[in-house]
Amino acid sequence: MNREFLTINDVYKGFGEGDNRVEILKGVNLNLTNGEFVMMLGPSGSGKSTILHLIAGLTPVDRGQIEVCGVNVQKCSTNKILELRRRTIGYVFQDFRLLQGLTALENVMVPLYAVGRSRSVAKKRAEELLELMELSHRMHHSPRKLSGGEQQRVGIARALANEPKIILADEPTGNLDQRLSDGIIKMLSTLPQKMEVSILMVTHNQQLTKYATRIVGLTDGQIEVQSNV
Amino acid sequence: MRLIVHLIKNSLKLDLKMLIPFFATIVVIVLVTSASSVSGNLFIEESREPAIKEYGGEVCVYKSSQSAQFATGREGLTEKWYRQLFEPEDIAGFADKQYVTYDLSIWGKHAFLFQMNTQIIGREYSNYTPEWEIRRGKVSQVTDLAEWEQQGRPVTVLIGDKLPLEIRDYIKVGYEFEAFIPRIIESGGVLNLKGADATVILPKDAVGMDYLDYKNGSWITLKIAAIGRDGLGGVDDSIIVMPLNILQELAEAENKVNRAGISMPDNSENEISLKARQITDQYPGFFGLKTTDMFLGTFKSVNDLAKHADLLMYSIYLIGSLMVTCVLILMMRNRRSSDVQLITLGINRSTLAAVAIFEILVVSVVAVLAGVAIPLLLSLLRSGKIVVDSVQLIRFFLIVPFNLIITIIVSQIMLPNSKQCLEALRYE
Repeated sequence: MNREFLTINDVYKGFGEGDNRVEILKGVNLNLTNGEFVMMLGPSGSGKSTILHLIAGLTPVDRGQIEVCGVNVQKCSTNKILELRRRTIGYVFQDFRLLQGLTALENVMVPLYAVGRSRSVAKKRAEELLELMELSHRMHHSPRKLSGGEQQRVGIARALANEPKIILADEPTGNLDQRLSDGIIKMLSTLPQKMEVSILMVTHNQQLTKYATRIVGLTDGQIEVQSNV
Repeated sequence: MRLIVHLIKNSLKLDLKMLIPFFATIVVIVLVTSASSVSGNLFIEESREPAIKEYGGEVCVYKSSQSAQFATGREGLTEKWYRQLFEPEDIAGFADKQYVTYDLSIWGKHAFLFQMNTQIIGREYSNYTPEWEIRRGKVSQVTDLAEWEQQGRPVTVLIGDKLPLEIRDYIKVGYEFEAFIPRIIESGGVLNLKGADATVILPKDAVGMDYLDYKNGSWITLKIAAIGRDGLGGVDDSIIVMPLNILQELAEAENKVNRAGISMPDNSENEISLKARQITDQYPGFFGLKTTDMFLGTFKSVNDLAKHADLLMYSIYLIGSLMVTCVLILMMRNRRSSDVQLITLGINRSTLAAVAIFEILVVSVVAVLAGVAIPLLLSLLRSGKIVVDSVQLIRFFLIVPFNLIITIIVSQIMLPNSKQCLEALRYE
């Protein structure tokens, strides 16, 4: 049975004040159900990343409502939002943003420690995820010694550490070449089948859309195209 | 806690380049403050308190603001000598010009001892403290009753004008000087002074008293091996004169003087100054100096130094604090990207602040320990023992909470909030 992990209802968001005010999102509506891999396409500045930031509670909506697994993000306290980001949402950055002083394994253990997992549990879980990402042989390497694709896979493993319901991936292949991008997205696309997770990925690379279950187009602050693949 | 330790591991690796100057800054603060403090101790505290202070295993003399003790009143030692050796008419012309003696114990490399076998009228004066006489700005004479090792017999040592010391100089261990050793004349029961008929002088065999012949002594080179504190201890304002060679003249050639002193019944500042002037003006052979002049002179410069030393120390702390703050700001800026990432992943700002605080705490403690250990180690290597000033140590460790306060303030200002995280995610 499909469950709704994310509901975005008539969301508005703008930045700046007075004459400098720019309305980025103008009544966005979007749902994400269990097991979906949704790709959001749109030109630069269309507000794709802003939607992810709003979902993660990094910035409040001006109007409208966002619910993550039934929790209204706008009504959450700061601590509750942090809790949401720790347990329910996994975030994948375009530029990987791994902690350079830690190994791949330790990077994946960070979110597990953040929710109070013991060292042994955290280590076991991190090892499993890195194996899933086919990085068993690179677990103890520092990010500097990993290729871009490997770093992003570590980033994905980290996002999956606490079994989130939603993965927010902000142009995860933006810093990778096409071959590596394909590999990463292919891997991402298998995740909804392997675990109870939905993925909302922002990209402007149309070649990657073949892996999505649904494609969403964002133009002029509104969702204009939604197509199931 | 596990997360904090985990993140500290990351920070230590990444911020090592930042932490090294932070560490070095604290070590330098401790070392420079320590040096400043040692100077303060040398010139300020010790100069006000004990005359002698062992520092780093080396025994030195510092001029003391603590007034020198001298025999005053009828119970004073010099009083006794005066009463026993001289009748007022014997020393007419100066007996009423009261003076006092001033003592400093010096052990030369020839192993002077304190004891002179002196006994008179049934009274025994052993462990007698020697005199340190000062005239007109120069340490001109030190009279010591001691045992000259080479001869194996008690002598009095006069340090003459060949001792190139000025007031405010330090007499230090290792200092070489010329000393005059008067010839020792065994009394053999001879009366030692003109007009001392009334004095009961027992035969040498019974009394065991030696006398000194200042005309037939010799100069020797001595090296100060150690300096005791007794001589400078607890003396009030006093006049210092050099009476012995003059006394020798007064006592006439056939008589011998061993030691003389006259006490002052009134040793107030004014009285001492007055007497000092009188003695100096009226008796060219006597040289009076008010000890308080000497010590006040020293004291003044010590106070100036104290003021500058304090200023120096506060300047060091101020500069050090600015440096620590700058390094902290740079460090927080350096880790901003990872902080943004961690906050986006759901890590509390308070956790990130705790990482910074814990890190600074550890580095500060280690740096202070290192800063303290270096001089202690040097002290140990140099003198074979460690001299610890616990008050100073506590003051150094105040750097740690101080750094913590700076860290808390800087981290609260520098750690990104959600809005800054968003901006960093969008634009960085």
